[in-house]
Amino acid sequence: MVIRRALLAAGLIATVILPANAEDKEIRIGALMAASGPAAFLGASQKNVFELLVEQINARGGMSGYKVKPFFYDTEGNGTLAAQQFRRLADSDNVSVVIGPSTTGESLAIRSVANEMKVPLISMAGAETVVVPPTPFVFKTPPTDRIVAEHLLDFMKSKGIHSIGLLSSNDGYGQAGASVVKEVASKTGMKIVAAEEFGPRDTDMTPQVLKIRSSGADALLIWSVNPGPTIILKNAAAVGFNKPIYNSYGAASPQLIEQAGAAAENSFVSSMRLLAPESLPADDPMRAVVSKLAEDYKTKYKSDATTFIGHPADALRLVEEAVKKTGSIDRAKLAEAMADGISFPGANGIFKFTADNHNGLDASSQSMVMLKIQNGKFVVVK
Amino acid sequence: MTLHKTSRLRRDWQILALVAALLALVEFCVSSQFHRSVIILSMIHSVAAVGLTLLVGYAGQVSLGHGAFVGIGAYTVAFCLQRLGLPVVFALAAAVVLPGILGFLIARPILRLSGHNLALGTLALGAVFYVVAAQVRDVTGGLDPGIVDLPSMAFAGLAHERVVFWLSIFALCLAAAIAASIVDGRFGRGLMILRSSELVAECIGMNTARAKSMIFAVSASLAGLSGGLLALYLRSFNASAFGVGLSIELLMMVIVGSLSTIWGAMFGSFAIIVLPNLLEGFDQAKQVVYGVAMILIMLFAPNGLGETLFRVFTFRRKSA
Repeated sequence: MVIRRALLAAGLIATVILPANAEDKEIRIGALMAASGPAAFLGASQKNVFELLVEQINARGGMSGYKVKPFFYDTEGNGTLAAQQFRRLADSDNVSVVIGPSTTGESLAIRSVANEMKVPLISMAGAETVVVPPTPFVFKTPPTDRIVAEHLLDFMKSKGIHSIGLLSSNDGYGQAGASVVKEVASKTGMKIVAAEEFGPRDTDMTPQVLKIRSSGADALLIWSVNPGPTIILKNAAAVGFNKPIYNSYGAASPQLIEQAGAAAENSFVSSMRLLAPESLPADDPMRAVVSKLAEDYKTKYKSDATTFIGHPADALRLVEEAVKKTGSIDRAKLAEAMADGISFPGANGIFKFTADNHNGLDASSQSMVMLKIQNGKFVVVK
Repeated sequence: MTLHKTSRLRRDWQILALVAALLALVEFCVSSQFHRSVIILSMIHSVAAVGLTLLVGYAGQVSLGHGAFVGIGAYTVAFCLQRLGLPVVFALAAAVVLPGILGFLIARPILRLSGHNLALGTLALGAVFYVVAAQVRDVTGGLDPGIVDLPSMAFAGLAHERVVFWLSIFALCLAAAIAASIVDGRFGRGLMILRSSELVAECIGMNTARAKSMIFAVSASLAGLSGGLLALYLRSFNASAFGVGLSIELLMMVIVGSLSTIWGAMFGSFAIIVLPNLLEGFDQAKQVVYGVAMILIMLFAPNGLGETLFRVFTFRRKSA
């Protein structure tokens, strides 16, 4: 009786385990995204697109034959939690590579952990400090603040703007951006005649706008994520601010137009291509990638793509290329491959990862386009 | 809490020895980095929670601002190591002393408040600290990048994590020993009277203002020690780690654990740190499940889940 039962159990276990063993080629990929909490505006859509892309990759047979097995954790924008979850992914879930986290603070908190545990990390943080100086196991896919600041200031110069008023939020995004803008400006000879800050939850920035108006700046540059920029656009319209207004990529989302309405007209925003794929020229090297991504996203989730979904998309592409290159899912080999000249046109620009550049992007990668808001739509301008 | 209880000092020392032995055993047995990180973080938070138990559980003074002292401790360690180049021991000592002094100075005015007003006052204290830490970028690095790359604690062939693990065990035992000797002494008994009635405490000749300030300073010191360890462990952090959320989390550790023994605080810390990891499977509903669990604990175990479970367990055993 006992033997029969044991046999039965063994048979049952075998039927459960054997088929799983038959398709043994799988790559485990961890994802750390701030799907809730203060950075949810980043992480929520990133989580969606990560799931969508993993589905697509598996539908076409996986990465060089390796089926993707995703492991997702919500970091809530909390670096301490992210560091814990990273260890969980590396140790318990045994992943080959981790994508995320969404914010700079979290990424910096786990940078040393990734290098200690020797697990490749592809961050989605903006700030360049994550990959400068480069460390063996840490990469990132969004363009750095520096690339965006250079793009904005170069564009302004070409329009005859010589002095700007800078208005930045006093959160992490605004703080990092403001210091990079100041640095780039002093290099390129752009004068910053006024620099004001505001709290990310402030509801009226009229005093700051008035100060910048009275400083006589040729243009206003806003460095903040929404809703700050929409409020400033409305305040500026209300006080009759008549100089051009520029926004950084943090404001690049459909909400800018939805919430600011007419006040957003004729303002500029430096953005990745995802925001306006249909207005890109036909010969744009990234057009095919971003159009497909934006369309697929809209079909599945019934909402417009944000520019933030480009980061996990490019990160997955990087993993895929690295797997193709080494033919292995070994952590160290993948990290080595990633730093060894992988190049592809992604949503955030034309990447070329090297030992010195773990972001794969520089000023020549065409990461950014300048969008102008005309008749309630984003239009690419040169 | 009756006052006739005999000194529990000896039993506390026994528990302390047991806890220390258990944690040391865990250090040798658990190999998963993830499990180790959960235990380390639980121990580090325990240090602050033990201090908060003294203040909330024994002296009856609520603080919703202890995250600030954790933050001060963390920044003190970072400042000592990076700017002053001091050894770790001195950095940790500074992380205990500085929050203690600040706590003592702040306690006098803020503990004039009581009840809901005290909760709001300390909440404001925590919120103000967060704003200051986020804006004084010269010292704290602000929100971005914050403090980056404190030196690794790797020492004599032991990896960073193992050193921090041992350091945390030591700190936790030290905190528990201090707390136990306060609670079991004359001063601790005075605090319990204070909690029941400030008037009675004064009538029997207690200097209540001084007692409250002292206990506030002790709990701030322990919060600072916890922050210092957190800084050493994480190596990179920014002001967002010390928001109001942390203060509330610490208070929850005390409430979930026990309001009347320091050992409950340890139970609470482990529960609060481990619980979110167990709830990962609930995905979107995570916050709801977490909230409902807290409400149920408040409703059915107002003395703390740890203590209630302990009582139920011992009651069953006796009646069986």
